[in-house]
Amino acid sequence: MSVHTTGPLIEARGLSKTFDTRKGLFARWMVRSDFRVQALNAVSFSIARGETLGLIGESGCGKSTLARVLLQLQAADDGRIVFNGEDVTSAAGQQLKRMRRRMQIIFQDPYASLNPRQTVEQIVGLPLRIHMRASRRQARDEVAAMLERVGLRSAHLNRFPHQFSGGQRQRIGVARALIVKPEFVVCDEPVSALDVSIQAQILHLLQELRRDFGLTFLFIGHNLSVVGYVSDRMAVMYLGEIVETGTAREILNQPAHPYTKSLLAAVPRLDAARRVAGEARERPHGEPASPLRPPPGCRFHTRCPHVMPVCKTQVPQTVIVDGGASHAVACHLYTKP
Amino acid sequence: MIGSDRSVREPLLSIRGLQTHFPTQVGLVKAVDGVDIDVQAGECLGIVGESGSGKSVTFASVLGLVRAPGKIAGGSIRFEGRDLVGLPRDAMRRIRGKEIAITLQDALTCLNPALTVGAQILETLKEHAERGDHHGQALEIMSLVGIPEPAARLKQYPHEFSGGMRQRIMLAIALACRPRLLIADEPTSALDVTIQAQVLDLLADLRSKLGMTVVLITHDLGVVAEYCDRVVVMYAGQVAETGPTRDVIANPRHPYTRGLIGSIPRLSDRDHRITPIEGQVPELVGLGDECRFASRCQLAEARCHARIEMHDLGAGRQARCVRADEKQ
Repeated sequence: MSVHTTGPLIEARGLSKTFDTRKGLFARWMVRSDFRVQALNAVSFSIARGETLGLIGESGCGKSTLARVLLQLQAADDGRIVFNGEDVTSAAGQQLKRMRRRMQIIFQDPYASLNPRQTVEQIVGLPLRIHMRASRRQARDEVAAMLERVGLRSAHLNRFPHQFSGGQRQRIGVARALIVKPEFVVCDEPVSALDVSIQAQILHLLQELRRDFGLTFLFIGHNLSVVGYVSDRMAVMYLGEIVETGTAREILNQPAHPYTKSLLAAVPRLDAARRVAGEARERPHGEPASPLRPPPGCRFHTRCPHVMPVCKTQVPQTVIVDGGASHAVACHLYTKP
Repeated sequence: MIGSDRSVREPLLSIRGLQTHFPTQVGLVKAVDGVDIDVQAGECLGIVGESGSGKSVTFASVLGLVRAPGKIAGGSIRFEGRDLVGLPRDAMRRIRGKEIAITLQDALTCLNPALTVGAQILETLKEHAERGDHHGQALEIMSLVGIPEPAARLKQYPHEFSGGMRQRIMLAIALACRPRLLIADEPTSALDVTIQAQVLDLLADLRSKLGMTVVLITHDLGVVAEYCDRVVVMYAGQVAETGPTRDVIANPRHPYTRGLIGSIPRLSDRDHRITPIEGQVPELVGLGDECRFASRCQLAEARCHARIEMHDLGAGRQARCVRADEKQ
C-alpha cells in the first residue's frame, strides 16, 4: 500500500506563510508597513508513522495555519510538504484528491463544523461518496458501523446535529474524519470546547481509534496537560516559529526554552503544592508581541526573564539539548560560544 | 444542616434553599434547585462545575440579574443580614456595583464599544460614589489593576486593548467603588494560559490589598486548587460537595468530584491514566429528589433514587451522597 514503511509519514520543511491583511473593506486606509502577518516562519518537523506529535501554542501563534497548510487547504508561500516520501507541496487535481482522502481533520468547534441542515448519515457519509464513490446503500451501512465504533448508535443515522450534546457532536466529527480510512489525522483542539468529564471521554476514544486504525496524529492544543497526555513527541510554537521539540517527557519534565518553562509555570494545577521552588519566577511578563511586527532576534525576547543582548539582534539557531538526541531548542542560552 | 463547628462569624453572604427556575417549551428548567452556599468575609471561595451546573445562575440570582421569564422561585439570599430576594429594584441597584460587583467571562461583549474605558469607569463612580475627584479615583484604580500609562489609556476604547487588558478593565470597573464582595465569573476562561496566570495573580493580590471577599466561578479545578481557600462543587443545579480546597481535592467524598479529578490529565505524572465519567449531564427538566449523578455513578444503588440530603462530614465539609461518610 505504501511507498515507504519506515521514515516519517509526514514532513514539513521550512514552511512559511504570510497573510496580507490589506484585503478588506478598509484596505486603502491601512499604513503600508502594517499589513503583513507572518503566520508561519520556516517551520520544520516530521511525524513518524503511528506517532502523535502534540503542537502547543497560544492564540495567534500560527498553529491552526500550520494545520491548514499541511492539509493543503491553504498554499504555503515557501517550504515543502512531504507525505510518505512524496512531495505533495503543489499537488493538484487527482493527486490532491488522493491526498485529501489520506489526510483528515477533526475540528475544535463541534457546533460550527457540522451542517445543521444535514442528517448524521449525510454528514458522515459525504466523504465516502466523494472519495470511495460509494452508493447510498453502501455508505449507509458503513456510516452505521462507524457510528457504533465512535460510541454512537446506528439509530442516530437520521438525526440532525442539534439533537446531540457537544461530546456526541465531536464523536460525529471523529466519525466523519475516519470514515475514509485516512493515515494522517490533524486534531485541531478537538476537546477545547468540551466540559472536563466529556473531554476525557473523547481523549480516550481518540487514543483507542489511533491504536486500532494505526493512525498518525498531529494533535494541536493550548492545554499542556491534555496535549502532553496524548502525545509521543511535542513541539512548542511561539509567534509563527517552533521554539522547542522533544519527547512529551522531555518537554514536560525538562523543558529547555524559557517560553516552554513559562507555559508550564502558568498552568493552574491540581497539585499546586508540588510546584518546584522558583517556578513562579519563570512566569513571563507582558503579552505576546503583535505578529504584524514580530520583534527582531528571538521573538520571545520581549517577555523572556533570561534575556541577553544577543537575543535582541540575532535569531537563535536550533540546537540539540544535552542528554536527548530528539530534544531541540531555538534559544541563545543553549548556543555554545 | 450548617456545620456547627464553623459559623462562629456570620457569613458575609448566605444562600439558603435557592430555587431559580426558567420556564421553557419542554418544561420547567430548575437551573438552581435547593442550593445552600455560605461565603465568609475575606475568603476566596471557588465555585466549580461544568456547563449547566447552575454555578453562574446562582450568582446571577444573588445580583438580581436573572432575566424574565426566569425567576427566583424560592429560598433566601442574605447579604450582611439583609435578604436580597424580593428587594425592590432601586435598593438592589444601590447594592449591585457598590457592595457586590461582578466581572464576566467575555470582556469584549461586556464593555460598551462606543464609550471610552474612562467613561465606563466613571459611570460606576458617578452612580455609587460620593462626590469628589472621580477622575483621580479612576486613574488610581487603573494603576491598581496594572494598566500602564493610565491617563492615556482612560481615553481609549475597548477594542484598543488586548484580551488580558480588557479583563483588567472589567476588574477596574468592578472595583471602582471598592465592593465588599467580588463575583468573578470565569474571569480568565477566554485568555491564554500565560495571561490567565497574570490576571489571577492580580486578583489574588487585589484581594489581599483591598481586603475583599472573592467568589471565583470556574470550570477549571486547577484554578480553584491554586487560588481558592474553599470550594463548592456543583452538579446539575445542586451542590454536590463543599469544603476546604485542599481536603476536597486530596480526599473527595462525592463520586462526581472524584470523577472530575480523575478526568484531568496530570502534568507532573504523564503515566497517570485518566478515567472519564461515562454518560452525560441529565436534562434539568422534571427531575425529582433522586441523586442527580446516579445515572453516571458506578456506585449507584437503590437508595440513590430516594431523596438525598446533604451530609455533614465535619471540618467544614459536606457532600450530597448516601455514601459520603465512607472513607475511600
